[in-house]
Amino acid sequence: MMKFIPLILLLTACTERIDIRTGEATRQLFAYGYVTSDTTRHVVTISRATAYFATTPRAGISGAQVVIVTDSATYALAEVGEEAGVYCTDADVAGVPGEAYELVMMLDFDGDGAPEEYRASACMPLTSRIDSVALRHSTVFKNQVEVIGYGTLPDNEKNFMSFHLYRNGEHLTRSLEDFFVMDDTHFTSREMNGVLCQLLDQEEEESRLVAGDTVTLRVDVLSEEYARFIREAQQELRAANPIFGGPPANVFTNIRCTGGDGGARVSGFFAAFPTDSKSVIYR
Amino acid sequence: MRCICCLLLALLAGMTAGAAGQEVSFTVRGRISGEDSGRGLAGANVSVNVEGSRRGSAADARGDYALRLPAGRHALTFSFIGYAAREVTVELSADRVVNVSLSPRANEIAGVVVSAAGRRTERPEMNVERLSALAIKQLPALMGEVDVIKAIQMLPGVQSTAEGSSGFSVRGGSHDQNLILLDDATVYGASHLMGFFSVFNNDAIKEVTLYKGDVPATFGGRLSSLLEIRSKEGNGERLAGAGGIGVIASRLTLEGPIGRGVSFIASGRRTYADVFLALSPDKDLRGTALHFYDLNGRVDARAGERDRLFVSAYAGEDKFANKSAGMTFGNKAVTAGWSHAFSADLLARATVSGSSYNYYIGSDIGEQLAQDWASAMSDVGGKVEVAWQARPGLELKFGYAAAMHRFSPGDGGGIGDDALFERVRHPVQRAREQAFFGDAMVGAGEGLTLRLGLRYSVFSNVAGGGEVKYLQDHLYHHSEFPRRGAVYHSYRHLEPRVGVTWLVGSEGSVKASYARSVQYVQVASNSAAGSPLDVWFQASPNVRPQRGDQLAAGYFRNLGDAWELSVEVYGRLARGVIDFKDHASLLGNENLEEEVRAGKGRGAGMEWMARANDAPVTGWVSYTYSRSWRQAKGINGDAWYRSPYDKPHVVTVVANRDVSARWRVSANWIYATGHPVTYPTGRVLVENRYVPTYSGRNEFRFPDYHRLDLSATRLLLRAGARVTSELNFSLYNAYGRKNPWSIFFRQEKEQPDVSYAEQIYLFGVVPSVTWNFTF
Repeated sequence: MMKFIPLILLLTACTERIDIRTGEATRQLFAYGYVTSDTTRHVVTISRATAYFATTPRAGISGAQVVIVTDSATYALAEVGEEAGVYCTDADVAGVPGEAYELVMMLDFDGDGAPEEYRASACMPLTSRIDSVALRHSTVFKNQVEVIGYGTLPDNEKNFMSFHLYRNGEHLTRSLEDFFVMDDTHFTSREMNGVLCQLLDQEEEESRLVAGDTVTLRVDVLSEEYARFIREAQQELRAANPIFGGPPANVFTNIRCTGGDGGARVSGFFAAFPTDSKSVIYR
Repeated sequence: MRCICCLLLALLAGMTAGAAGQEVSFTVRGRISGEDSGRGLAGANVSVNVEGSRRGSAADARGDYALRLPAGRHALTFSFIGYAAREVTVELSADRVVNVSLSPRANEIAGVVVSAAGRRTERPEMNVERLSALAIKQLPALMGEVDVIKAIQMLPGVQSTAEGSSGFSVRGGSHDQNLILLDDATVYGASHLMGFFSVFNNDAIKEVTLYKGDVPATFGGRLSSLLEIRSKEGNGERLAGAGGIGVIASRLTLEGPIGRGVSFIASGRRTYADVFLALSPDKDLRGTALHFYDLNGRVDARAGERDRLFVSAYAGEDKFANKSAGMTFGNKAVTAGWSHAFSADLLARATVSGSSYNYYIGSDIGEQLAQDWASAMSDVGGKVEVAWQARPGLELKFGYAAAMHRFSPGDGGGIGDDALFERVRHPVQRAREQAFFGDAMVGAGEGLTLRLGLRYSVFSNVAGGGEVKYLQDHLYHHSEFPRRGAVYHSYRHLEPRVGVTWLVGSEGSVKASYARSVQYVQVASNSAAGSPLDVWFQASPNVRPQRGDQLAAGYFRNLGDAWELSVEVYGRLARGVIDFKDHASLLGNENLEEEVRAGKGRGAGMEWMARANDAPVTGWVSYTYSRSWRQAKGINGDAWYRSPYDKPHVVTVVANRDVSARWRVSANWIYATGHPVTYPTGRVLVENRYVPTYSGRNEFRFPDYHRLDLSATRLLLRAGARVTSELNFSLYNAYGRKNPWSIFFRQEKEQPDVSYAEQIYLFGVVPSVTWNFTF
């Protein structure tokens, strides 16, 4: 029903930029990364929060010791590339559904000369099985192509799925607001018999399809905590609404300062999730 | 608490005993009505000089009054705003009935904008504001739609919850801490069109009374205020009507006699935005439903001199729908009342009432995803009340009220055999709320009047036959299955209300009051303004009732008949105040109670008002200083934070002037400190987007709010014509202040590292014209 608000306000409501001063950011460490079931370099980024109206890129933090630990292995992450604060595993690492992962980071963030220890843990849910993908022009949403998924949801106690799209290998849903998280709380079964997973706007150049394009649907199965993190982060990107919205708030985190004096504020998330994908050619 | 009760009872007993052996006295009672309509004039005043001191009484909502006086000859003065005063001499050697009709003053157009029942200085009450339908009609209105609640928002101590909203906050309280009664029936969803208009059609309203915190013991159930709305009685003399055609809505009211002593009134209003949408070049908009309507009706009957009966009903609904989604919500309310005068001193009233609020949302975006969701709540209740004037200077009211609450938080899910989502039905919440109450008005001599009230409320959760869950550390811990209909939990509270009024000379008074209130139901919403999709939930074993105490004092002074000055100060404390955890999930959440974070609240303020009753320009100027804070475990690091309604400075100016026999102009201006808000102070990068990190809750403020509204009314009078009409021209937000409704934060598309803030403002200058008529 949120679509009715603009309808109601169309007579008079306007939007314009406004000068707001909110000062400097509280000193805060932020870490974000995940392990997936794909065999690839898994990335963890470490940075500090910058002032909201800063015009500089993310303030990455170099020099941290970062490892991901499982029951059977320890993977060291090395800082790679030109951008500070980006730490990667080797390229041959793949997560395993059902396995627990712990991120351990050692760095001197509070500047007292001694490194603090930060930890987060995550358990990778079981994976979904995508059997096939279909495309159809929507009869409900104007100029949209619906991406329909068929498959089976896994036997996790609760399933939280996020749906990503690729066009000819190009990741179309790479930004936080481009994908959404769906849960199966009230699903009638674990079968996905033609679930509407995503829409491709045919009026937008960046999502327009031409005959012969390959469209790939990727389904990630998230833990409840990671789904909460993503949903809360997405919520904070939306315009606050005094009728339907609550007060804004900091996003949930699973990262804790476990060593040092514990005085530094920390936020972010470390997750582990399986992925599955299928492709279809647009005709 | 026990000490307070003993003290009250002892004081009351002492006052009653003190009456023994005093002068022989009799009661004058009757009805004060308007000659023009035959309707009782609520709040009309009767006063008399007795041995050099003034005594008086104000008519109730039906225009009935009663006054106890010593035997002998008395000159009674009957008066009411907009009517010529009339003096009647009575010889009292027994109880007497004196019915009086007052004639409207010639050329009286604007009247007084706020009218108290009698002069505020003398009334043994404080924290009370009254508005007549006429007064409300004078105020410039958004899109020409005269609105009761928008008028209330101009009073000191009252503020809008959001730009354009008909939600209101009283003395820093939440919007759900206001009890809104239409003829004793509770109105849960008091707004149309997402809150931009209230559900009350001004043509069907007689009077509105707002009690700010200090609510008479006959009422209860909310912490902040009681907004009591009395519907209009039908014209008992002749068939009459009124109506109007405006920019977004039209309305029509018919009233008249339907037999001896019986009158009716019926009123309707409907918007017609969807009529214009049907002409839209965009074919997707043509099938859109977008409207609301109201229907009000009332029948009054007099059975002899002693009995009165009435039935009033209201129904209203909003509907928004296009081909893929739709939404409806609306209220229904009905009240039947009977009053009987056993004697001149003893009056009994009984009412039964029912009300309901429900909403429905549905979407049809494919066979698998088609869903709907419905929520409904209803109250059925009754009240018996006895008013007894025991002796001059001692008025007693006592009675019993009960209501059954039935809240169905949600019922819905997927539609059809192919639906992806199952259908679910959240457990229905049932509760019984009862109260015994007593109120005593005691004249203690030397200009001193005491008001002593006590309310004993009992709230009982009643099992619906399903599971009852119990929380531990905000998570459901275990369940029980009490049998259907069993009371599985109860709360009991004593709610004392005390007031004192001391007349200082003939033109001034000092007043003070204390009130304790308990609230057993509340809205499950963490937005400041509230929405039509809010569900209410009840106190339970997991959620304690909200309890509040208010202490207030004030000084009131008349400057002749032209000006009234008042200053009131207050302090409030509240426990069990409902808030919700960060990122709470409230809509359609079966485990809603897990999201609640109850805490404490405190507030204080000062309200100053100067009111012009009889000057060339009528209206008022008010200034309110008000603060309001909250604290709850798990919110803002457990530290106190500003409540969403903490606006320290509010100034309102309301002015009306008859510039000629045909033209009336009105203006109101409001200034308020911007409301508290949480702004981002930092940002972090998640999936290629900057996500804000925040200050403490409500550490910042919106830009200050101010707005000027203007209106001019041209009377279209024709000599001898039965139909009179007027054209009202209004300018809402006359100087085009861009008051933000919402402020949000974005990243530049071309420069992703640059963030900026944007505001949505709802209204520029909004002109409107409305044609109103009466016959």
